[in-house]
Amino acid sequence: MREPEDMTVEEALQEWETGEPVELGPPPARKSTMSVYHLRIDDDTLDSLATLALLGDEPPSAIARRILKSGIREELSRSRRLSGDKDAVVLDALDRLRKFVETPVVKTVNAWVTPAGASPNFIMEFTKSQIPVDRKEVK
Amino acid sequence: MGNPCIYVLIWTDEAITKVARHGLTIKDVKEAMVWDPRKKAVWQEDYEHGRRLEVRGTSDGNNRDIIAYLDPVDTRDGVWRVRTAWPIE
Repeated sequence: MREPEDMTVEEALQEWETGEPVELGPPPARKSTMSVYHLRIDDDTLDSLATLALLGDEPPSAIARRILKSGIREELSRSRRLSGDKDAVVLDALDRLRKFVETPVVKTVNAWVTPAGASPNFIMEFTKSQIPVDRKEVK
Repeated sequence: MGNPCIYVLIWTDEAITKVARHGLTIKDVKEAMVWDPRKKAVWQEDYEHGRRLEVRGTSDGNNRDIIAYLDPVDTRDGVWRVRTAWPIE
């Protein structure tokens, strides 16, 4: 018997006729958008993932998913830009704009920064993620 | 044992690339293999590699008929490994 990976759709349809019909159970009640994908990963990276999990309150798999998702988005957008896809450049710009608009400007006020040369009344509020690393110590 | 259910699909590198080459998305296959309540299936016996399920269903999003091979992983919990899938034109 041939392996499915080596077959064509025509062969699969032919084989269908020879199969033993089976009654399937109902589909799941809830439509999940998740699938399972096994990924081999080196031990050091896995250790780093565990360290990240200990630092925050997310499990390692959730952190890995988040990093993978953001990395894939960037990689796709970069390869589309490199391929000269003008639509992709516009879509990428719109996506960045959408993310910017959707990010609350003031989420938690945990730093007040006075830019050099600004008038004393000109005080900017930054959210945690928007504070440049070298300014995080500014009180 | 009751009727087998298909709840979770496990994807390998080979299956992901095969399916993409056939012009299908993961979502297409999932819609047809998991969510389609009218999908049909037949067991195929393979004395060398064991039984595998051949399933035909329709994706909800773009109404494509799809045929796929799934290997049983845990039939009680409805977990299957995708071997490959094709659109039926």
